Amino acid sequence: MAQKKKRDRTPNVPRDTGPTAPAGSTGSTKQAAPKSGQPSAAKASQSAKKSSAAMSQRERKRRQQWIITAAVAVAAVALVALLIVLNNRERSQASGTPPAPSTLPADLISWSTKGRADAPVTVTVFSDFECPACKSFAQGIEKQIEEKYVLTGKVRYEYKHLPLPQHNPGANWAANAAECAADQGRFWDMHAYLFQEGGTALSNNFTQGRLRDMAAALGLDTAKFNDCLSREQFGDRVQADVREARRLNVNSTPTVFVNGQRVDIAAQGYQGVITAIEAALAAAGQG
Amino acid sequence: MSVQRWRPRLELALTLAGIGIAGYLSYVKLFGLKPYCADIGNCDAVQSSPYAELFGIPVAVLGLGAYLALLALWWVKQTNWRNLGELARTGFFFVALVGVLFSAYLTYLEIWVIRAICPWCVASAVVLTLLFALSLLEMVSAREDQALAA
Repeated sequence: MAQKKKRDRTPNVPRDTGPTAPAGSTGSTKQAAPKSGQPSAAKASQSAKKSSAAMSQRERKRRQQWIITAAVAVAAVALVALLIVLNNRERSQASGTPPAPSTLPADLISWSTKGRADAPVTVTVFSDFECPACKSFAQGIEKQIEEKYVLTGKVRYEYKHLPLPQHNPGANWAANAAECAADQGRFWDMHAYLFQEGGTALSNNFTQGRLRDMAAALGLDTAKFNDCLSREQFGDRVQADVREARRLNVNSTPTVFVNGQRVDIAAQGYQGVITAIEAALAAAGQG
Repeated sequence: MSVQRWRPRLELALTLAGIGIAGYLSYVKLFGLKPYCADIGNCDAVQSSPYAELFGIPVAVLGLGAYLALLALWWVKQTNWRNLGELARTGFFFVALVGVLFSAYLTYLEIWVIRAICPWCVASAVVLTLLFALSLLEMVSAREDQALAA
């Protein structure tokens, strides 16, 4: 308001100077009181020159400021773009090459189960692809079980999903990715690949994009896989496993059951699973 | 006009709020703790996602660094320390713009890639956006002032 008043008053200034204002004066207060004709013209032209110089300087300064602001903005955009590109490159390089494909005979594989359907012992593992303990279990004891008992027809080994809340959403997506791979008969290859890449201290390694890349690296039908993963086509199967885990009071991974008997891994370690298998085989008369 | 009068104080308050948010998230990340999320969104999923690090440095720590830089630049521009006020103002604008753009990218990742929202990260994005808006306002008004003074 105060400013508006000030602006309203300004035009009155030359009018107040009245008769002293020379003809042709533009109304500037500085030019309003000349003493004689000639010097006043020189002064006016000097002042006009000054004012035009000041104007062009002002214009230059304004333009310079605009250029600086624009340059800073462009530099900021370029820096962020560079950071994003480098960040993505780092991410896309994150997945290693897939492990060698499973050598299990195809007739021993049924969705996420391996082994003969009529094997005397069933081993059920509740696991999470983002859990470090599950990773070491899958890469250690599970391999022994496969070689010694699954391939010999003694054990039917089934994998059940229990993606833990603290590992989500990565663990849930990984579980869904494994199911989508199972749909193409490649559950165990995806399982090995997921445990190769997951189960690290980072604990949330998988994004949908990364899982899609991994499926492509495994040579799966990517259109089918991508559609399956984005729709979580087998989400119900994953959730059914989670509900079963809850029903069995399983809340940590890996949790192992041998013929329905829970193995106390905390007390016996992973070797306890082998002991339990041997005991179950002995009970079945195959020890 | 009142925004101009309050701008420096508002900038300082927002920068300190940003330091608080980024400081908390850095502490949680560096000590491997679970962030307090008040059941809104999934802070843990965002904080432990592969995108929470850039070149091995947690994004929260980078954010803290940016806020501390903004605080230093704010002080230099307000006190015109060693006549570096104008440079600091431009620097403040630059850091705020980088921050707001990177926050936009991180928010995109939260919504579309990680599919989990972390309220702390959203709060930081809002703080940076406001800081950028204030800094833009300052750049524009400073240009006008300088033009008038010339």
